[in-house]
Amino acid sequence: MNELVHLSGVTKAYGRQPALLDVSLDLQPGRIVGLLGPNGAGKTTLIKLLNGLLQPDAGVVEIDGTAPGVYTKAIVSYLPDRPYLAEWMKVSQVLDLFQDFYADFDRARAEAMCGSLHIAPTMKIKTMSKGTLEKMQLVLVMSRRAMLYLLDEPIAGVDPAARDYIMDTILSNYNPEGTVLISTHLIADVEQVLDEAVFLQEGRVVLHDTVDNIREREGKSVDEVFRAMFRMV
Amino acid sequence: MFGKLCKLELRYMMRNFLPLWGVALALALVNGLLLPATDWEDSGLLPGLLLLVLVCVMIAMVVLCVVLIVQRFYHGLLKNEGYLMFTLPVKTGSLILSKGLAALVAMVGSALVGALAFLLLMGEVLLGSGITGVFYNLYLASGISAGAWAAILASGFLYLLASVAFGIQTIYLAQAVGHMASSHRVGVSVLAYIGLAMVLSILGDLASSVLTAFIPDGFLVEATVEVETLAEAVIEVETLAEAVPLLTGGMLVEAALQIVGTVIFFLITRYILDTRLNLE
Repeated sequence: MNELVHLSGVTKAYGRQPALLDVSLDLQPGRIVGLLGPNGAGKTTLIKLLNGLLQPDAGVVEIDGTAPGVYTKAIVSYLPDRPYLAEWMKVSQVLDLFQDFYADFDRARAEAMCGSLHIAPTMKIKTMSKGTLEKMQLVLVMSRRAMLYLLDEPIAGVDPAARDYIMDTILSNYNPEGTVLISTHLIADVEQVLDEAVFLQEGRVVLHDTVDNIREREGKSVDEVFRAMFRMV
Repeated sequence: MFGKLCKLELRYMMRNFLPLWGVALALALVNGLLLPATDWEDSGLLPGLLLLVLVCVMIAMVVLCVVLIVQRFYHGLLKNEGYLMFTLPVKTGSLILSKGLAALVAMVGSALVGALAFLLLMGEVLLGSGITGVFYNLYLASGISAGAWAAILASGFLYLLASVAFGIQTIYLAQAVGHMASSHRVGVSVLAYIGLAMVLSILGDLASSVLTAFIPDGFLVEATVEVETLAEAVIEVETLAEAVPLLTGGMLVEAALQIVGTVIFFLITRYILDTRLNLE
């Protein structure tokens, strides 16, 4: 039992609308895992459950053997699919905040990355463009030596150059002893870096295997398997 | 961690309130210096305008207090910023408490600034009228010791703090209840606040009638008579002195009830955010 992430029989519904149905999933440390599925498959719900931002209707959610809480939040680095920094804050104040609350936050690394993006410490969050803000949030998340990185759609809605920057930042900064869970429906852009893939469809895990096994068994890329599986009739 | 959360919340509150407090005090000081020397027939619009601006600033302070209490909870926890706040390694109770304490500081600070502004505005008028001497004579004639006056003021201040804390927590609970709705959450929050206010009003009436039962027969009538004689500085010392424990005791009981209410509402709010949080 050395799973970093353990879900067993997890079910979550929004009113009468089911989002996850009897999901069981185990992830080991030191892996880069793609959480893949079309829009509405339940990817964001699953990530929110791991963060403790939602409570499951049934089932067990554990990170490092513990239900989401103060301990797990200290070892999880989360990038949501939306801006989550207070607009009134300056960059330096945001860095102070992360330094204050996360023992694994590497401020020097964050400042260096901000510098390379020409983000000044005095810059206010509300003056940032959408793209700059997304990069700023990525810098904060990847400047932590976390055990689990939960990245919700980090490359959705950005241009190809920005995607390259984002993937480079993730790969060159993550803690190799930790696990990175990347949710996306843009498989081709992440396939090369994935160790494992989890396919979600209508709230159920329909496939979970190593990328090598999937390619070998199916005789095609993960992207092609995804397209075949989720082809619109 | 709780201290760091408080620092974060206070920083936000103070960046809004400090300039307003500064403007209010400066305007009160200017008005306080101008008013006694003002010849209202010859001075034109300026003194009246300054007084109007001061009133507007004081009203803005009250409005800002309410708006920020609502906004810091709504935007800080239940909208996008909640994605950061609820993933910090802190307990949900600490998040609520830090916002409540910062709001309390802002409210009490504004009340004190308001009182100070009034003194600055009316200081020279009050000093010149000799009314302070009247108050001092009343204090001497009352036969109530300085310690007893301090007890009255302290219990009054505690009552003020407890009332404000309860008001803040009621707003938080209403928003948490609204958050449980699948749609129209703001509307549901408003309805929840109205519902809570109605229930509290009924409970308050019940509590008053119970507390009134403990007041000695005829006390209120006598007290009214005493106030009138007090104005003429002819008082029955025994009756007024007897009122001190009842006054302080009453305020302390009220404060205790407000504190119990604050704790209950805090626990319900925390339970809702722990188990029913659903950021969209």
